[in-house]
Amino acid sequence: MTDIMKTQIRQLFRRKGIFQFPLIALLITLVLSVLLQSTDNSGRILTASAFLGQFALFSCAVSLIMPGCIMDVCCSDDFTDKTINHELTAGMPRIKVYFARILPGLVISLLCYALVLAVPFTLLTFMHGWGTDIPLSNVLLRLVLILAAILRYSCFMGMIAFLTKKMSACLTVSIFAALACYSMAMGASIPYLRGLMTNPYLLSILSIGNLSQFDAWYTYGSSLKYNYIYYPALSGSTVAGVVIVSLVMSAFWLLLGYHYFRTDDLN
Amino acid sequence: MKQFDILALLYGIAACIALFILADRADRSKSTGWKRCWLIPLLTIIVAKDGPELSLLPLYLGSLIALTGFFTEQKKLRQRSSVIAALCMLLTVPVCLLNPRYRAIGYKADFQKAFDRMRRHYVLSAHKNIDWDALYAAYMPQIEEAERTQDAAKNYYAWAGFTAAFHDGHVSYAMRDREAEEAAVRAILGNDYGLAVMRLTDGRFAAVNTDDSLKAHGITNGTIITKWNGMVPDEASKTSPAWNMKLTCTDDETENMWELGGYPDIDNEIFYSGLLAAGLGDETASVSYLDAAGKEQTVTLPKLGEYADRLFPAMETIDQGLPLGNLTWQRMDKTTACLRVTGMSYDSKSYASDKPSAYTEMTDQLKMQIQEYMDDGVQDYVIDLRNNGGGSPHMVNAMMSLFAPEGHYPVIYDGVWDDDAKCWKTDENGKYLSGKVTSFNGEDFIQGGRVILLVNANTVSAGDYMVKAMRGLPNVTVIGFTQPNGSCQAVGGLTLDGGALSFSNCVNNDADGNIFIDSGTDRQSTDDLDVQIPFDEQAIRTLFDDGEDYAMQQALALLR
Repeated sequence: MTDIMKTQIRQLFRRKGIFQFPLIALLITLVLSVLLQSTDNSGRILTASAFLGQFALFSCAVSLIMPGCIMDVCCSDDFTDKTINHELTAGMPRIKVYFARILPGLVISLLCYALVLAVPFTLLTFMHGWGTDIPLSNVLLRLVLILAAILRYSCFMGMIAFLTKKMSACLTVSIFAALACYSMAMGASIPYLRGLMTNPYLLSILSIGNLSQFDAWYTYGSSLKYNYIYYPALSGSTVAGVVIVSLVMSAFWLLLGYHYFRTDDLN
Repeated sequence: MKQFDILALLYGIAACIALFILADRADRSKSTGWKRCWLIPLLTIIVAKDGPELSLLPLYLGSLIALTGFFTEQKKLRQRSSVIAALCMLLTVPVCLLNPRYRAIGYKADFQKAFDRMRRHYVLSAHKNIDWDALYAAYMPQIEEAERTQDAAKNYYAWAGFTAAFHDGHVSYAMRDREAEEAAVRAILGNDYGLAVMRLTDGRFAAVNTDDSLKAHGITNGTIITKWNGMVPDEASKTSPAWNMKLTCTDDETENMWELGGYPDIDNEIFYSGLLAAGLGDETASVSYLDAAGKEQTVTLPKLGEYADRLFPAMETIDQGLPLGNLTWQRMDKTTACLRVTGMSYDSKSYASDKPSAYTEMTDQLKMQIQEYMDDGVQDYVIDLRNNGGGSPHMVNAMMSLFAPEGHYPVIYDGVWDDDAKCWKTDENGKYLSGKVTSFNGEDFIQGGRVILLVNANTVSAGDYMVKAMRGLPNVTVIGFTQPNGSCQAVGGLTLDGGALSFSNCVNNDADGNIFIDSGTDRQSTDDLDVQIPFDEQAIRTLFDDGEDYAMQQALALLR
C-alpha cells in the first residue's frame, strides 16, 4: 500500500498538463491579482486583511479546481491505463487499492489548496503588512474550517473518480463547483442561488463560499470611496457545524466510493 | 408548501418510481454500473432551494431509504426500498402543512442583527437623541411574538413602529414578502366610510375623495369635518393603531410609493394628521360635519370597504407630480417651461462617478432644450421635484449649474472617516468633523430667468439637497403644500432574512459643521419653503372635483 501511495505522489508531480500547469497558472493568477490590485477604491494601499475582505472568495472559489485535478490523477488515471486491474489481479485487497489512492489525493489536495491560498496573502503581508481590517486569528480559524470543507469536497471528488472511472471527470465537476461557489456567493440577485446560500452546511462549496466571505458594512463620502468595516466573528454553532458536517460527509462519501469499488466489476 | 419543496418532493417520488423500474433492468443486465442510479435521490436536498428544513425530514429519510439500493443488488430489496422510500416521502405533505414552524422566518435574528448594526452605524443617534435601550425594550417583544406565531403582519407592524421612531426619511424597512406587507398595511388602515380627511392650512379638517353616496348627507369634497367618532380628526388619528407607524403605500397603477408616518419634519406630520381618522370605526362610524348652512350635523356612515382603497388615491391626488418621465420637459405657457425630475440619476455610468464631466451628456441635452425654449420666448422655469426619491448629488450639481446665477456655491461637507476606529470623527463636543466640500458653479444659462422648485413631503435625499442648495438664490422660489421630506444623510442598507432595512449611514454637514438638513429633537429640518401653497377648500375642489394640478397652477400664478 505504501508503494502505491508513493507511486501516486510521484505520478502526480510528473504530470505537467493536469497538475503542474494548473497549479502554476492558479498561483500566477492569484499573485497577479494581488500585485495589480494594490489599492482599493478609496485609494488606500490594500493590506493583506483588507485584500482578504474583498477578494478571499475569488481565491477560494478558483482554487477549487486543484482538488479536482489531483483526484483525477490519483484515482481516475489508473482506471484508464488498467493499473488498478493489474493490482487486483496480483492479489492486492480492494480496500488497500482504494485508500492507497484516496489518502495521498486527500493530503495533497489539502496541502495544495492551503498553499494556493497562502502564497498571495503571505506576499501581500510582506509588501504592505497585515493591517487592521480582520484579525489574523479569525482568518486562521476560517482557513481551518475551509480545509475541513475541502476535505469533504475532496472525498466527494474521490467518490466521483471511482464511480465514473473516467479521466477528467473530477476536473469537469471541479470547474462547475468553482463557478457555482463563486456564483452562489455573489448570486444575491438570483433567488434560487440566494436561497441555497442561506445554509452553509448543505454542500461543501456553500461552506467554502460562506467562510470566504466576510460580513461587511461600508460608508462613503461624496467621492464615492468606500470605507469597509468587517464583522468576521463566527458563531460557535457555525464552527461546530462545519467541522461535524464536514467529517460526517467525508466519511459518507468515502464509504459510498469504497462500497462501489468493492463490488465493481471494472468493466 | 413552497414551490421548490413541492418540486423536491415530486422529484424524489419520480426518482423512486424510476428506481423501481430500473431494479428489474439492473438485475437482468448484471452490471454493477447500475448502482450509480441509486445515488439520484440524494439530489432532493439541492432541489429544495431554500435549504434543509425540519419539516422535510420524511423526504430526506425517504432519500436515505432509497439509497439502500446502492448497497445491495437484490432486485426485490431494491424495489421494496423504492416503495417504502416513496411512501415515506409522501408523509412530507401532512408534516409541512400541519407544522406551524414550516419554513419559519427568523424575525428575531433579523431584528437583532439590524438593531446591532444600526446602533453602531446610525449617524444621527446623538442628533436625534435616540434611546436605543427603550426602542429595544419596546419592539423586541413584538418581534418575538411575531416569530413565535410566524405572523408576517405583526413583524411588519413592529418594524413600522421601530422605523417611525427615528423620524428619518432614510430609515425604512421593506418586507421580502410584498404581498404580506401590502395586506398588513391595508388591514391596519381600517375601513372605508366614503371619505378621507385632510387638515386645511387654517387648522380645520375637510373631506376629500368623497364617495358619491355621501352627497345624500351633503358631504362632498371640501366639506368641513368637525369630529370623527366624537373626536377632533387629528386627535382621532392618534388613536389609530397605525399612528406612530411608518407605512409604505404603493400605487399599483403608477407604481409611485409613499410613506405614511414617521415624518422627519413635524410640519409635514401635522399636514397629514387627519388622514388616519377616516379609517376608524367598526360596521359604522359617526361623522360630524358642517352642512351648507354652516350648521354642525352628525351622521352615521356604514362601512363601504377598505380605507386603503380611498386613502391611496387621495394621497396620489394631493401628492401628484406631472405625469412625465425623469428629466422630461413640458411647455406650460408662453413664457414658462417645466422640467420634471423624479429622481436624481441620469444613467448607471454617470451615477457611479463623482466627476462633473460624467454628466456632460445630460447637461448638453438640457442646454439644447433650454436654448430652444429661450429662442421661443420662455423666460421662467418650474422644476417639478414632487415625489423625487433622490439619488446622486453630483447629478444635482450638474443640473443646478444651469439654473443658478454665476458664482461658486459650496453646499455640503463630507464627514471625516477614522480608519483605525472605523467610525466618523467627532470633536470634543461630539459634533462630526467636516471634510471635503461638494460645491457647484452657476453658469446662469437661463440668463436671469426665474425658477420655481415645486416640492412635497416625498421630495427627499438629493431632492432635499437641491432645495437647500438653491433656496436663497435670488432667482429661485421654493413652493409646495408641504416642505420637502427633510432627510439628507447618505444611506446604507442591510439585507435580512425577512426583508431589508436602510438607514442614514454617512455624515453630511453644512458650512457650520452642523448636520445638513435632517431634523433633530425639535423635529424641524433646515430646508424649508419660501411660499406655502394653502391647502384649502379651493385646493380640494380643484384637485378632487376638477382633477387639476392645483400646486402647479399656483406655481404658474406666482410667475405671472
